[in-house]
Parts: sequence; structure tokens; C-alpha cells
Amino acid sequence: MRDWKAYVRARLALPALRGLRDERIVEELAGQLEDLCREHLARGVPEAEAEELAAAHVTDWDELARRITTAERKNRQPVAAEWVEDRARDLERRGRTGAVAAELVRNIRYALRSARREPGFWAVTVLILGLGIGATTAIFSVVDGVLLKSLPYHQPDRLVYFDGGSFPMPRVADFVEHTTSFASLTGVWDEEMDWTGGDRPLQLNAALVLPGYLELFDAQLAVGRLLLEEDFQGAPHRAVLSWGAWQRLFGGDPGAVGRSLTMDGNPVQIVGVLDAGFASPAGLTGRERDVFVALDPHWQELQVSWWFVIEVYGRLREGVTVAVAQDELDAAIARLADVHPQLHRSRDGNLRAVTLLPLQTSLTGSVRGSLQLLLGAVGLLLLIACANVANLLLARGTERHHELAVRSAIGAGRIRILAQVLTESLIFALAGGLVGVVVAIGGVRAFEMWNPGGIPLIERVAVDGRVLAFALAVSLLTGVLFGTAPALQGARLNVSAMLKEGGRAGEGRDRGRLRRTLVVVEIAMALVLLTGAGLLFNSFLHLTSVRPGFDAAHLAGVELRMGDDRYDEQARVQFVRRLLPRIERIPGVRAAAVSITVPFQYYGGRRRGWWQERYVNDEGAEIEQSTMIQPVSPNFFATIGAELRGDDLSSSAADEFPIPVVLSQSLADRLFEDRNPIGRGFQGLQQQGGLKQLRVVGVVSGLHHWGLDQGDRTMLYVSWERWGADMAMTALVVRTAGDPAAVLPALRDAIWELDPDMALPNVFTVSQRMAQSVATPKFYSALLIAFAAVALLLAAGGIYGAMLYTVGRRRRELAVRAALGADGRRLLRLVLWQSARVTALGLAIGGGGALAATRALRGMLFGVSATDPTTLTAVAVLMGSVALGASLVPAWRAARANPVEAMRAE
Amino acid sequence: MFSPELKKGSVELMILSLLDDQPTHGYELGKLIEVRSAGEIQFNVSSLYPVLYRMENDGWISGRWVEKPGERRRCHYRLTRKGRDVLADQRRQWAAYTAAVNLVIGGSRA
Repeated sequence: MRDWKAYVRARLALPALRGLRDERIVEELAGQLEDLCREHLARGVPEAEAEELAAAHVTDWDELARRITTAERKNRQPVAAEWVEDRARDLERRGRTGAVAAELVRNIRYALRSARREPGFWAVTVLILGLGIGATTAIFSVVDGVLLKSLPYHQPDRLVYFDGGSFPMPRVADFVEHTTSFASLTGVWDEEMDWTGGDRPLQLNAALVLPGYLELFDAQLAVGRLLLEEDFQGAPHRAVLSWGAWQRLFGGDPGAVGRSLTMDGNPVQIVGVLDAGFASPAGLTGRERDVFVALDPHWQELQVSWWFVIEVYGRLREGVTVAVAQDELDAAIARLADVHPQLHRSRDGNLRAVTLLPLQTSLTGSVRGSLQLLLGAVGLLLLIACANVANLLLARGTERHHELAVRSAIGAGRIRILAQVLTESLIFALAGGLVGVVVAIGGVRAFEMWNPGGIPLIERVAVDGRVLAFALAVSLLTGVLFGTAPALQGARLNVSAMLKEGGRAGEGRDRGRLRRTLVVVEIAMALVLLTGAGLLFNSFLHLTSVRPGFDAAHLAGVELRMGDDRYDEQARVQFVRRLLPRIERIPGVRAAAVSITVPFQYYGGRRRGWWQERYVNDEGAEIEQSTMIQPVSPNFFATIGAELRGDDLSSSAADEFPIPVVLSQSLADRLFEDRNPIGRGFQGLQQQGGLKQLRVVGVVSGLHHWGLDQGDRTMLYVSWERWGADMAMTALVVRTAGDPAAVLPALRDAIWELDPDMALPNVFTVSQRMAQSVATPKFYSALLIAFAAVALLLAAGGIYGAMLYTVGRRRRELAVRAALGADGRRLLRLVLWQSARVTALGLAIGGGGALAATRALRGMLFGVSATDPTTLTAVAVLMGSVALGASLVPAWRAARANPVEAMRAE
Repeated sequence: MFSPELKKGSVELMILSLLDDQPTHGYELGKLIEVRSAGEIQFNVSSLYPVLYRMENDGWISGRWVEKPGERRRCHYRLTRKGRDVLADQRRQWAAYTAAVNLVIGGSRA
């Protein structure tokens, strides 16, 4: 008798071998033909003829296949799968390459079908991947926009910044004259100017620019003309407006060109308006200038060695590298130091070094470390997500392995099985990538909204083509990463054992070990993240628990702008003498004073003021100590609520001799060591006439003027009327009974009553400034805590799954133990012990990793070392408890192991 | 022989009715139809099996391998609960339809 099965299989071209279902169809049809054949045989027809008669029942096999396929498809196949199937058939007709492509397409179809079969599993997996890929993509898009995308200038790689602060004009002239590496070398002097030409006094951000500055940054015009050579002659008098200022001040009126502004009391004519697309380097960091004023490099007032105002930018000549230019500059400075020592040497005789930085590096240096840290953290998170998903795939039950075994049994080679499993992983990953892009878009928005400011180039951050390409690459990479373990596992299946034992044979030791390894990796990486987050959080707690040394909750400050021609020293004194009593009459105000800066008006690195370094103490010893001189009005310390030993400066301090001063504790220690400083005399305050005789009336301690992390800086407080009134920089400080924010409008009104033309851009409460000063560490620690929390959750999920799996696999063993008399508590311990071993290994590895990784945090920590044992212990305990907690449910399940039930399951 | 269109309209009803009596396999279904219709209705392999598979996919019938001593295993079909509902419904419709058609063509009652 003919082999009817082979006969049918050879003729019935079903679209794909769909496992058991198609096998059944083949077998059933073969049976039918065999029955028909037997029927004919029974009637005495010869065998060969009977076979032909039976075979004749099916004349058109293709038609039959089509009908069966149609019948099978009904209600069963998703539209997508049907489409995929059609494509696969098309491809297969095209020969060998087509067959490979068809195989790929079929694998895709498998994945889609499995998604329909297990929607819950898919949802969880895609969500985990989406979170991981999304967070990574979001941070990458920030890193890309800030650190990687090139600047919007012509050949931006050739632009350099002279890092060394601001330079006096004669020094800049030396650079120009004695170097050849630069195609262009120019500079800018950033100044705030008051503009009093309009209805209200306004403060403008001005840039006084040397010739070539606007051209260096590709400035284009909207209206009027650019600055010409004739504009750069004598005192600043010609300017171009930025597009933003043109819109804001003149409503975009072209008639603005030709008008004169009064800036700091001097007339400046507007000759043009820059194109909306122009951004100066300051503009790229979010501080765009409103007006660019021509600055004559030969202007008489600039020709002094002590006026450090010009920031220098240059464009390297074609083919010149930064290193070559740096060498030339170093050599030039060394040479010139003998000609112009006052320009190129500091007071102690050392060369004043200048470092050339690529422009982009100079703009983003402040945030580079933090952003790289975030990228590293989020990368760890993604790895944890991968390990988690790999674990989920491994845990996916025996059904899947059975399916693979069947495929293997009907002839699919290892490569094909591997390809199928990997394809599925990649589809998971791509779906996760799609979710990730959505997460990333939200994440980038959140980052832009919540970041504490001060991140340069943040406007350029966008989820664009580059970022999408990154997301795609990361998705594929994660697909391979988490797909490899299950794929190899699939290819290594012992087929015959699997089929025979209903799939249990493949559940051997190997898979358990692999899963536990993944859990160890997850715990280790989560611990690294937790440690970083813990350190930053601890550091933030330290920072915010610093006592500022004054009554921060009740202080308000106002920057008094008395810089223009209407004010000289005498006018400032008169203004303040009239102002303070008026302020003190405002309801809710307790006291008021002036100084050159209010605590926290400037914080962090931005410290402005008057510096001195030479002193002779009471014993005649010369002492060098860089000190900030802070002129203050009478009762300044009482006003801010500082801890003062001795006396405040009195109203007669301006006229007394020796000059009464208050010292910071640190300066007192430096000058007098352990002698009581109060009442002692010393020399300082160098001016043309040499050092002055000074007398200590008070010592203030623990005053954090420049930020909570800035410690007790050495400060010398002197009378404002005598030493501060000749400077434009002045600030009013007010202590209130209640909320200082409530009196801010009254403060403004009181000032405008005396001078309606005074611009008041800075009216603030000190507590608000203080909050801003810690916003950056708060933001980064919050972000890292969020990442760590997700990591903790994923790791907990990982260990939960692994333990559940172990308990399931050992159910029989546990039942036998129960049958032999082990009580529940003992079984509970058994499982917890296993979990504890995995956790301990993860903690050990993670602890080592954390110690290595947290070194990167050093610069960001305050009051906590990168290896702080308290933090390390705390996060290890947290991680360990969460891991053990996550294994409690599986352990409890083990404890209830029922011998009868387990035996029955066999 | 009857036209394929006529057969198509009634094949499901016939299969459901036969399976309502007792579960059986494809070969026997074909035979039963042939015998009961006194040889007037015959289904070949190409038309019977696609219908069976469609009905199975629709959840009207379900197939299961059955092995009997001395025979090779065969796929036996039986009615599902849904199939029973469909059968009742189709029977009603068939009776009403044939009665109506007879009235129109003026023949005697079936």
C-alpha cells in the first residue's frame, strides 16, 4: 500500500508548516484516501488501480490547499499575519535568497502570533523595555543636544575660547599681535546697561564687541547695516540690536534703526538689527545679549592693565589644531612676560596661563560631568531592564519550548530556531523602542521643564532624526542582548527528551543557573545605581541642613543700580540716607541696610566684588590672604540676623580712625590665630597710599554669603559710606517680620519714589535665591533617585520571578520533603536561603562596582565621601531587604507545599 | 446529480445533523451522506474537508484523534454546544425555506 501521508504532503502546498495543526490535516486527508483505496480493494480492484481511483478523488491539490487555507484563516489569523504570509509566499517564489527572506518574514509572523496569544506577557515586556529605552533615549537626546551636536556656526571646530577669565585690552592686543595661529581673534565685554529712553527704566544685557566679533559668529542682518570700521572709534556710540530686543523694545518697528538709546547716560545710535537666527555664544547658553555695541580696541579708557573685561574668542587658521595654537600662545606669553610683566605675570611673578578650549567644550564644560553621569546611570538602568526581560523570556513556561521542540523535530535546524527566537526578541525590542520614543518625548519635555536652569544649549535638545536613530540602534542592541540567552537556550534543547516528557526535560539546571546569574547581575547593577542615588541624596541632605548663619527666612534684597552718570559717590550716599528710613517705615519691615551684595544674591562660582590680599597683623607679620572686602552700612549684621561677636559697625564708623572693621572668623583666625581679635589693630585695605590702620570691632562667624556649600569665606567688612559708595554695585537688604515676598512691591515703590528712572531687575527674597542655589544638586539627586527606584523595582521583579520559578520547578522535591515531615517554616527557610545566596552574591559584586563607579560622583558631593560607609550600608540593606521581601511570596508558596497535590500533578 | 450551489447551501446542515446523531470521522461522514441520500449526494475530499475545517474554526464542531484496537487513528468530529444551537437554527430555517419555495413553485408538501 502506498504511503499516503507522503503522497499528500508532497502535493498539498499549505502556506507554512504550522506545527501540529498542519500535520493533522495531512494525516486526516491521507487517512481518507487510504479508506477510499481500501474500499476499492475490497471490491476486488487490483491494488495499483485502486490507488489510482482513490487518488482521483482529489484532482486539483492547489485548489484544495487554497480552500483549506481559507477555512483555517477564518477568525483565526490576524490581518497582519495574513499579509505577512502573502509576502512570504511571494518571496519564496524567488529562489534561495527569497527563501531566506521568507523565513525571516515567517519568524516575524510567529512573533506577531505569539503576541496575540500572550498579550499580558508582551505588554509587561514591552513596557519594561520601553521604560529602559525611553529613559536612555531621553538622556541621550539631552547629551546629544548639549554635548554632541556641533554649534550653529560655519566650521565650528575651528572656533576657540581663551579660558583664563576676562583679559585687559592691552593683553588682548598682545595676543593679536604675537600669534599667527588665528584667522580671526576678537573679544566681547558683557555689561549690563540701563536704558532709560522708554516709558520705564529697563536693564539691557549689552555686549561691547571688538571688530570681527559679529562676523566670527556669522551674524546676519534683518534691518539696517552691520557695524563698520567707523563705528569702532572712540567711546562706544554705535550698536546693533538683537532680534529679540528689537521685538520687545520697538515692536519690530524698522524705524528703530537710526534712533539713539541712552545707555548709562550716553547716547548710542542703533544702526541695524540682527537676524532672528543669530545666536552669540552667550545666546547659546541662554543669556542672549540685547544689544551689541561697537567697542574700539584703541579707546583710551581700555588701555589699562587692571581692567579685566574682555573675553576672547578666535577662529583657528585652516589646518591649525588647538594643540599647535596652544603651543604658540604659551611661547608668546612666555616671551611677552618680560616685555609686559604687568599683563602676563600675576602679582606673585608666575605666568598667567591661558588655555585654549574648543568653543563647544568651553560652553558645556560645567554640565559635561553631570550629563555623562546621567547617561551612565540610565545605561545601567537599561541593562537591568535587559536582564529583566531576558529573565522573563526564560521563564516563559514550557509551552514555548515544546513548540520549539516540535519545530526542531519536523526539521528546523538550530540556526533556524535561533533565528526564530532572536527575531522575536528583536520585535519585542522594536516594540519597546516605539514605546521608548514616546517615553523619551515625554522625558525630554519633563527634563526641559524641571531642569534647574544653567544647562547651556538646552534649546537644541530635541527628539529628532539623530535621536530616533539612536533609539533604533539601542533597541536592536537590547534585542540582541536580552534575546541571546533564550535563543541559545532554545537552540540547545534536547528535542526528543522534551517531546517525550511534555517539555520538562529542558528545565534543567542550566536554565536555573542562567536565571540566577541574571538576577545577580540585576541586583549588582541596581546596587550601583542605588549607591549613586543614595550618595547624592545624602549630600543634598547635608547641604540643605547647613545653617546659613543668618535669618534667611525673613530677608529680601534689591539690587540698587546707581551706575549711570546721574550718580556719583555723594549722590549714592544721599540716596541711601534718604532711602533707608523710608524702607524701615514700610509695614512689616524690621530693619534695612545696604552692602555691595546681599547674601545669596550671587552664589556658587559667580562671586563679584572687591578683593584684597595683603595684611600686616598686630605683631608686624606680613600675611597674604585673598579676602573679599564687603562694605556695609551700620547695623548690617543686626539686619541680616548674623552671629556677631563684638559690635556692629556704627553710623560713625565712616569717620573714625583707625578704621573700624568686622572680620569673618576665618580671617580673624588667619591674622590673630588664637588671640582674641576684638579691639586689635592691624593693617590692610591697600590703596594708592599703602596699607591703612584698621581696628577690629567685631567678628562674625558661620556666615554663608556665597552659598551653602561655600563655607566660611574670608571676608572683611568696612563702612559702606566710606568704602562702598564709590562703587556702582550696591544692594539693599531688608529684614521683615513675616513673609518677605509680601513687601517686595512696597520696596520697589519706595525706591521709585526717590528715583523713578532706576531699573530694578533684581528684587528677590533670600530664601528663594537659596532654593535656587541648591536646585541643581536637588534635580540631579531626584533624577538619580528616580532611576534607582525603577532599578530597584525591576531587580525585585527579577528575583521574585526567579524564585517563583525555582519553587515551581522544585515543587515535587518540596512536596516530598513535606511528606517526609518538613514543616512549613523549614521549607520557607529553604527558599529564603537560596534567595539570600543570590542576593548576597549580587550585593558583593554590586558593592565592588559601586565603589569603582561612585568615584565619578566626587565632584558633586558635599559633606559626604564617595565611599561613605553609612550610605553604602544603607543602600545594601535596602537592596537586600527588597530582594528578600520579593522572595517571600514564592517562599510562602513553598511552605504550603501539599504532598498530595504535587504527587497528583505527576 | 445536484448542482454545486444547491449542495453548498445545505452541506453544513447535513454535517451538523449527522454529527448530532453520533460523533464520527470524515470518511464516514461522506459515506453516511451518500448512503442516506441513496447515492444522490456525494462529497469528494476536496469539498468535504475544507468545510469541516471551517466549521471547526467557527467552533461548531471539534475534532479529536481516536484510536481503536486494530485500526489506524482517525479524527472524530462531534458537535459543540455552539454547533447544537446553529443546528437548531438551521433546521428551522431550512424547513421554513423549503416550505416557502414549495409554495412558490406549486409542488406538493415535502
